[in-house]
Amino acid sequence: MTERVLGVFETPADARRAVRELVNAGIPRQNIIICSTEPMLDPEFLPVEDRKTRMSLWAIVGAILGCAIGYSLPVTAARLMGLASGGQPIVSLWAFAIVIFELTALGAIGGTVITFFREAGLPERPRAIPSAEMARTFVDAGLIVGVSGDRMETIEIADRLLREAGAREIEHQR
Amino acid sequence: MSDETGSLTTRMMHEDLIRPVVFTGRRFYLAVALLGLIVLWGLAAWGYQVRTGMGVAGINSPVFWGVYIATYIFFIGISNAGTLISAMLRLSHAGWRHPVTRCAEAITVFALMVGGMFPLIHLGRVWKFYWLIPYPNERGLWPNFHSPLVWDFMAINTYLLGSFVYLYLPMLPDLALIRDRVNGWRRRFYGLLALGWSGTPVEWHRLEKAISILAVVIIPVAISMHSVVAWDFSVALKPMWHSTIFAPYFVVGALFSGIAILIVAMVILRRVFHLEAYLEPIHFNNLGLLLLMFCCLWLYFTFAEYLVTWYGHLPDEMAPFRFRVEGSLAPFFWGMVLMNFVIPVPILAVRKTRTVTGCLVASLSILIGMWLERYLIVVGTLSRPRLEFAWGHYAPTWVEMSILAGTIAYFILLYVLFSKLFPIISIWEFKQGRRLRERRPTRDVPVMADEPFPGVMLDD
Repeated sequence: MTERVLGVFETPADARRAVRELVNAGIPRQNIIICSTEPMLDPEFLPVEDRKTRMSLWAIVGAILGCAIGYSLPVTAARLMGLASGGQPIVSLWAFAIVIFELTALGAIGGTVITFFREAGLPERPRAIPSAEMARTFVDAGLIVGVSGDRMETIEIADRLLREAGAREIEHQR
Repeated sequence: MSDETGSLTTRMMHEDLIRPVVFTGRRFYLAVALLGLIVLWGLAAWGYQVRTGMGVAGINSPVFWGVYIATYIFFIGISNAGTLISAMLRLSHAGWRHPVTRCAEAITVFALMVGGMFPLIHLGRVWKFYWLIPYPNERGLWPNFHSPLVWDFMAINTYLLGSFVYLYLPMLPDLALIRDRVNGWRRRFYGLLALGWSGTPVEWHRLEKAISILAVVIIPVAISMHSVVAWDFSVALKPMWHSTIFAPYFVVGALFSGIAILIVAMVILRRVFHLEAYLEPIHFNNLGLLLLMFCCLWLYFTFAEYLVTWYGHLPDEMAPFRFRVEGSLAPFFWGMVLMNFVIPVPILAVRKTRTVTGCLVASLSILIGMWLERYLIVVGTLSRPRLEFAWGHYAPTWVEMSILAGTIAYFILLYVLFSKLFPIISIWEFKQGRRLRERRPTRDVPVMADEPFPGVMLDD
């Protein structure tokens, strides 16, 4: 059965120390839980490999897709319907440019938002679900560092290391 | 993190900013009841118009656009405030932006929602509105993509969607924070809206990345939106509308009125929710300076617009020019100049009067002045078409004024409800801003009397 031990920290320095100690003790990074109420993006909390994101790429892909739709929608509509244009060209890029631009932007926004949710793994159940009492301590303190694992031994080591690093409150969960 | 920084601890900050969400005072219910009544009155007037027909409004040949379209431009203009200002402040890393961004972004969403109602109100047969949506209707007809109305539909909806996302994503950490601090139905409600946000480093990293990309995308969208509204007019070949500077003129006016409404909202929120420690005089000072710059820009564009018309002296152009400057719209014109420049500039230019109250007075004056400007643009030209025999007059009826009052009340009501349900100041961004300021080295700068962080750089 998976067990978790969560420790609430008040300062980033203590939390950083806790993470370092946990890693040095051989606990795999993917088993270490870190949560904060404001961005904490130091290398100890977010290793370089986790910083890789394809959000910009998908924003561009979304923009290209939006641009293609923005072009083909009015052009196809104008050609299919044979709109009366008073002798002016039926496909007018000047007039369609706004539609193309707006749908390009919409595509970029869509690409960004979808990639954000996918890469952040949202929506989901919160990764660390402390008890209501601990949650209150957490939001005021600001940081949770914890470990999840199947082995009792690992959890005990983690408990000790979290306490040594200065955890204000510790909670065990099954 | 709960260390004391100045006099404000993290716990105090949470209590201050979450208190309005959790506790509801009598004044809130009073405000909602009063605004609700005005909204109902406006709805009744709209219902009367729908039932009786557009004849109950003052619009008639040659003035087919009146208060409705003037107010539409006004609301679309103020909607530029939020997301655009917030995005510009974010991209320029303005250190004082943190308490301002959410107040501003919420204005955008609600102003767009209300502004977007006006074409429907003006439509008369409101149930036919879906004909604007780009899909073939029952007769196989597509909307004409050459039409500025379709451009409007595209621009407003793109901006609305983008602004909503831009407001919602940065709210996720705060929604999770409230979820973790409250109990009962509120915990379930905010838990649902927080989408399971835990605050892991990966979530934070992706959120900051998404906000940066959205900020870059949203700026041209915001500018395009108000430009499209300007092109509704300037592609119409009407005297004093058919102008190449109309789009930038409208964008400047939009930002001008947008900053003004942001200041008004901030003053009210500061007073009602006791946010003096968060919305500090420095924020009003900086926004006041921005407003002062836009006062000058607005005058420059207005002068350029009128000077060229006057110098050209074309008879068709001079008719609406004289109607606005010397004719029956002259009180509106000179009132606009008074409200947009003569009153606010001295208040905002002098350090001693650029206070919270001073900024509020200047902003209220500008909001009235900018509505007058929109009214002048719409009615001034339509009343004086090229053929003299077609000249006419326009006066709004009680139905139009009731709908105007109802929509303004609706906008305020939406904002009141939002600030009741969600923290109006971004908690995590405020904390982040404070942390960044703590890390910054100080420098020797002249200290203002009411500067909250003497000697600290204001840009991070």
